[in-house]
Amino acid sequence: MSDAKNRAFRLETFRAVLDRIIPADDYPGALDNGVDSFILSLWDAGLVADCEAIDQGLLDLDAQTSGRFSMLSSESQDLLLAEHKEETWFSILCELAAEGFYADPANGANPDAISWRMIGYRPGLPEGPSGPCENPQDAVRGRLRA
Amino acid sequence: MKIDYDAIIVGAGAAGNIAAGVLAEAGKRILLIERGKSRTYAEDGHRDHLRNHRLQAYGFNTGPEIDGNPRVFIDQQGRRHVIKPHQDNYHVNAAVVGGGTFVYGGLAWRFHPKDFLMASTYGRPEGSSLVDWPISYDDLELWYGKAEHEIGVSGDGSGDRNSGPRGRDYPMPPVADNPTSAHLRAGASALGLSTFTPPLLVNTVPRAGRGACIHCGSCVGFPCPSNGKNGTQNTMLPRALATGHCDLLIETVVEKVATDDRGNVIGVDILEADGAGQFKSRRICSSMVILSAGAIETARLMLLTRTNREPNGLGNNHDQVGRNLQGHYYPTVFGLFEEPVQDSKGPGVTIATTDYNHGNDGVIGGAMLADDFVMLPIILWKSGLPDDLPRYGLSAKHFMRDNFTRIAQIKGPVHEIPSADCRVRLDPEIRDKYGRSVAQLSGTTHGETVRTADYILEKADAWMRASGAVRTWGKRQTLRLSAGQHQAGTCRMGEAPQTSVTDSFGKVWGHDNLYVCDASLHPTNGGYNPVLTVMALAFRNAERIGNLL
Repeated sequence: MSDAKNRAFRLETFRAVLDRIIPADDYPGALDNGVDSFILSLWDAGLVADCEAIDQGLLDLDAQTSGRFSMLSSESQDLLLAEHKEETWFSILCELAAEGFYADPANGANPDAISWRMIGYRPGLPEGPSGPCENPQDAVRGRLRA
Repeated sequence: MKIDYDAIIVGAGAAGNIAAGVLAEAGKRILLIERGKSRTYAEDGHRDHLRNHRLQAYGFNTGPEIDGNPRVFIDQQGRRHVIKPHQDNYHVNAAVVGGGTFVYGGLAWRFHPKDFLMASTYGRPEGSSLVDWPISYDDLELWYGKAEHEIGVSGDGSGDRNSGPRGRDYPMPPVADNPTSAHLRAGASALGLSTFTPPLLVNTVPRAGRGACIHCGSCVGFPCPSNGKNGTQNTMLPRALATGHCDLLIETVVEKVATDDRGNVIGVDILEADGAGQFKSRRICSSMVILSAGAIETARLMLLTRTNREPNGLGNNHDQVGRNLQGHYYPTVFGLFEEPVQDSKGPGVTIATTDYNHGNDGVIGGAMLADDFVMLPIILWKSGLPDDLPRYGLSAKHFMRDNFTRIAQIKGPVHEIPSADCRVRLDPEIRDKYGRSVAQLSGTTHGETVRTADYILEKADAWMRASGAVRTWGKRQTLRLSAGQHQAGTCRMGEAPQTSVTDSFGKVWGHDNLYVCDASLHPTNGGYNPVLTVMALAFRNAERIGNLL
């Protein structure tokens, strides 16, 4: 894991790429579900491995399109991304998007467990899809009673 | 010197809690020390699909804490990597009261009688450290039964035609079928394979004051919402504490085993934080010390304790401590069916065969094969999609939408052929936040393990196809270090100090009052999930220790 890293990429480009990684159809896409915020939170917490590669990959995409990637048609965007599909930064971004989209709602990008309803996953926990609440005081330090 | 306790046990996991319960109920004064926290389902935070013991993208739902607890991994090219607990190659075990049993799936296998006789059965492959156990299945049978009843196992005692003889049936009926079961049963039948419902440390009916499984959709890797998964934290530990003879010290790290000036074990040195956050060593004395910290940390504690008599670590005058590190390769086949085969109702394991554990043409040993625990969506995405499927676009989304409920798995733990060069050592440079040298892991399993794993993968694939899967996929294995949650072997028991670390009851050679009690003892690790064997040995060896105290 790296420390928190600055990012140089354009948010419009980042969001447009995510929109093609998990597009909306009858069910929400990455942006509807908040996958962009999920990834940016991880990024700002320094938890995204190889974030430099993603940063550079998005910058290269902008350089390739004179900063207009987000304004291209979906078809043009898909054609461009297909050129990059084998590149590490793109694989990592796909994986991060899937983490948000398919993880539990409490991770922030699967609101109301919509992605789980789409695929037929049943969480089956008494408290709801994300189970119990957070518990900041999850244990007390032990005491030696000798 | 004041003797504070009859015995100090380091590690409140699968074995340590059992030793504590057995000894405390025998009237002994016990101190049980655990570096992790004591947690419950309700206290454990949200059901985090990215931070658990099946998927550790950013951390865990238990310890070890991500910061301050590194290990060093030496790869096959000799390069050093400093690894955090949730990263690949750390080979983590849950640090929490209950250890792995707090979050495991709880497959409750007895090893096959031939698993205790691997060298006799197959010969010792060149370059391997394959040996027989110093004890047999028959020596453990009674204790397997005790573990099944005291901890609580559901199963069908007459189901497994390859099992060794058993004295008693399981105390609870087996788990029910799910939509996968009938397909795999028909496929097995077509191939002439025998199948049955695998044993699980899960309540299928209310038992011992706790509820039954409520069939949630996230079992292995997580604490249980109904407390119906039987770990040691909700069975033997409460019994130990109820005696009033057992103190439990949590979030406490042992610096080293305490020794006198002749090198005899006299207790442990724990580390306590002072007001300024500095760790200070405090000695606690006992008649007996039992190390139950898991195969990596138990070996590390032995190596951290250096005396004039044993300058390379306790019990290590023959350079055996930390060798033979092993775990399990897990060949896995995914099968796509035309109709739904998943209902996300846990635990999820419903059908197994042990026909491939032994008697396989041209390979050594084998594996139990079974379907798997309920699968998390993100785990399918990360590790279960076919290689040729794009990971982006509508094709990826639609594959998940259309197929999540139509995918079954067959997988199993391959009996490893150990290597003496697969090791836990102390790293000369890196220390943890307590100032202790960290574990350095190096070496690989023996190449025969890979051959057996690939053989088993083919058998799993054939079973899946015979069961009606329209498409199957799975990965062949490569040579690597294997330890992880099934870590074992680093303080193997045996017949002589030149070739082992302990006697057949876990007493460290050269010491009268130092015992190892965990999977470190396993000379080999079976073709099954090892936890019931860890538990059976703990019941057996703790009773022996109690008789000596």
